[in-house]
Amino acid sequence: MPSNDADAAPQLDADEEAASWAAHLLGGGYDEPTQEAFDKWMAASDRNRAAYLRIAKILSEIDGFANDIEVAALRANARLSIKSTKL
Amino acid sequence: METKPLDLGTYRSERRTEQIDKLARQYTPALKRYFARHACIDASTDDLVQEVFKRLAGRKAGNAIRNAEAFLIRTAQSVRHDHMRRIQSRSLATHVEYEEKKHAIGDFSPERVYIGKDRVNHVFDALQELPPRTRDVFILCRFEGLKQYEVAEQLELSTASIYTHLKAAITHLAARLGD
Repeated sequence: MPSNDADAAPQLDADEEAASWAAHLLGGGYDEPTQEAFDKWMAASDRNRAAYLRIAKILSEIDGFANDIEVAALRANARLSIKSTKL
Repeated sequence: METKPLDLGTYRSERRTEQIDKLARQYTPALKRYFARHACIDASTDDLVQEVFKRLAGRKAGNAIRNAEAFLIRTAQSVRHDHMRRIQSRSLATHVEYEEKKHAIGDFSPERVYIGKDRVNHVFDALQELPPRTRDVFILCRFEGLKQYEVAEQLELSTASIYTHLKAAITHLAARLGD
């Protein structure tokens, strides 16, 4: 989980931290302290907030293509990867 | 995992029809969504889907299809492309002056359709560029609604590894699809 310490040196780039947070939050299953830490990080600077929102916007756009046939084929392959791992 | 090759040419005609019907049942909903999403106007999605299977049925005997799904995707793209070309030539032939009231309601101008198509391709390419395992992890978490620990369990990976794959995927997608 990214640090909330504004003085951490070297400070990770906001984009890098935003990607870390997005990866942490993706798929859910995180606990309340994680959510609180994320809220704190978002409130810490406009740069953090903007960086995360940029990623959220892209992920949201990708969601819109989830049922597009090409993406659906990738989804089918991903589901097959589960089956092939289990074989 | 490789899908079983579909060798329509080796089957008797009844068997061939049966195979095509089976594919039609399986893929028609996805193909309809595909044509609807790509704003294929001036034709019903049913007609376009029918054209896909007509091309499949018209395929020469003896040419086995290694991956039926991939073949249908390529055929659907080709049907869409031909349809768009028809619309464009028809638009040029019957061009009328732009009127705000009459034309501004829909969002289906050929330009808009092509911008949408370009964006879909861009998203697809960005996903395709991911390493296969990273792509699978991202897709399972994002599209299939699995939690990270579930994906870890299903793919027999550690949760730390799932996080690493997700972060790599997000970083790549943000770089490729960001403004």
